[in-house]
Amino acid sequence: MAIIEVNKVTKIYGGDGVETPALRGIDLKIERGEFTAIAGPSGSGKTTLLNIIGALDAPTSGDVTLDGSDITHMSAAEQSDLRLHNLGFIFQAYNLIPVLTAVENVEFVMLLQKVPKDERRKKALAILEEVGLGGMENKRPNEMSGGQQQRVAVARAIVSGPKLILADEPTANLDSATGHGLLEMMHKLNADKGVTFLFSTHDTMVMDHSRRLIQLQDGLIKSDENK
Amino acid sequence: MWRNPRRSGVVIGAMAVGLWGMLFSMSFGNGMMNQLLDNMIKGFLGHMQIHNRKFPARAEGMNLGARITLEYTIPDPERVQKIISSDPSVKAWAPRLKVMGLITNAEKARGVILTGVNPAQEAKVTYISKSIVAGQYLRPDHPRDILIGKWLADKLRVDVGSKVVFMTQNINKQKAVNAFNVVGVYKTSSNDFDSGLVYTNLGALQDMVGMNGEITEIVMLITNYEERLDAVQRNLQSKMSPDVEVIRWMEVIPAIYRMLGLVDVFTFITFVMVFIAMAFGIANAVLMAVFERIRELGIMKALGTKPSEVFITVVIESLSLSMVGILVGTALGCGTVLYFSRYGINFAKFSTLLDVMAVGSVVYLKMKPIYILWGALTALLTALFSSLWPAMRAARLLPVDAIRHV
Repeated sequence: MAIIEVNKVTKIYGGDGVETPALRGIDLKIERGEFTAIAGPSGSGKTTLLNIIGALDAPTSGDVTLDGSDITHMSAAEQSDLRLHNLGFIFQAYNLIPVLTAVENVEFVMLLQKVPKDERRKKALAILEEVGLGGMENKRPNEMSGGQQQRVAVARAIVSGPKLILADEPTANLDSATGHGLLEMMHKLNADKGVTFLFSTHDTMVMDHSRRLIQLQDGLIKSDENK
Repeated sequence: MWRNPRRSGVVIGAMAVGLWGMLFSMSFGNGMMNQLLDNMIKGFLGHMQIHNRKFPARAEGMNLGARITLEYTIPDPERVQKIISSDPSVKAWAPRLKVMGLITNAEKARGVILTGVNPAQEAKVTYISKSIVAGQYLRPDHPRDILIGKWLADKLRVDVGSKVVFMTQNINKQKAVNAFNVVGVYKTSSNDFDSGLVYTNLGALQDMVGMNGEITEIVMLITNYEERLDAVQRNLQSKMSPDVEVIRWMEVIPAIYRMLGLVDVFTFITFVMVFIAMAFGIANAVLMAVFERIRELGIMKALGTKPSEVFITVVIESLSLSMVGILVGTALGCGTVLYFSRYGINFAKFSTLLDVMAVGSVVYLKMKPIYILWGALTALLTALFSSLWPAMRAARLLPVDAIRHV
């Protein structure tokens, strides 16, 4: 069974009497262990699709299932629970909690999962070490570079062992060297731990690293290729 | 909570200032009314009085002397005095005979109430003996001694040693005139009191009006009167004959009692207004905190924080900050009240108004311990209710919209 199934999903944004379709009917399946990029020009709907798959946004019609469970019609509390235990997010703008240190940001998800204090601190420090941020655990986001912040975001996304990581333009705000290093790290996680990655991107470097490339255009899938 | 000191400071400050103001204003009102009551009770009223049941003991408004009459004296006064002397609840008592009349010197005259007292007993019940500002207190074996208030002395232009004449009607409704020597001038916190009440020896007044051995009033101080007044009244009344009445101070001058109640109401209204203002301040600060952190809250929700957890986080943060504010406000309030309870606030500029109210120009604050409990409880409830709407807004944020918020 696919880990994610997207069935006839549409998304129409409306305001001031003007309707803007972002997705016009998407059918998609993502299998476990995939390292897949959803690419397309700005406005193609890739971020919208990722947000709907991550239960951060609701489709206008259609549904999404995660491991067979319909996540589209869950309550807000159920969706929060789903994200907490199954999904990891890496955002373009890093989206770390500014008042928390690096280790506290990484611990946050485990805190919500009610992991005991000592255990979550140990895991968080280990993951930070793994992503190359050993020694930076007590730095706040405003004391770190973009690349370091994104590494903390990656650490936060993977520390609880999610089934699927959704990364929205993860390299957009990074220089090419840093972006490349980040991709290599995520590739390694995919290879070593079988973590499923789904990217939205228009970075060719990300597209080149992916094993499956889905091209979106004007809210529809234009092509879907395994490499 | 402490990682944004400015934001936290606004909530703490709003709470602390509100609570400080509340404790101060309630203690001020309470202190003022306590002084009023104390001055009235210890000035002339006592905690309880005994009269002939037909005697018009109850004042009309604040006018004590409107219906004073010699017609109804206390029947069998020796028996009454024996009863109250043997009651351990009666701390002190004093007999009185009161008449209305005219006091004159060579030039001026004024209507007054002349009260005949036993000086020694009166000194144990009221503080008139301690209020002498010129001359001395009444001397027991000096029937010509008269004690007058400073306000009256100034109006009549008399001083210690001056001669004054008092005119009234005796028990047979015939003119009775007597000359007195001003032995002392007293001053209380009330000009009304000072202008209207004069004192002489009981025996001298009884002789003047032909009422030997008769008294119209007994004034008493009761031990622990605040808790036991009603019970003592019932007990004493049960021992008296049917034509003798025992009444409490609030029955003698109900206007004061009503005024105290009115002050309580105004204090409560002030209390509520302070907290409404505080509630707006806190709600605004908490709402600002939520809006400032929309993105942060969106991230938290995206990572798996439930709406209920976001709601509780905002409320608990507001309550926690308020606890700090309550501690600070209570400390400031108690400190301020303690200082002004010792040194008072001098309202000399407004002394005319305060004298009319028999409060005195220096007001000493007085706090009841329950104020702290009320204040803390109300502050917490205010913080709780003020944070509900911002917390609901935060809980209902859509993660995707919140994350995009700039």
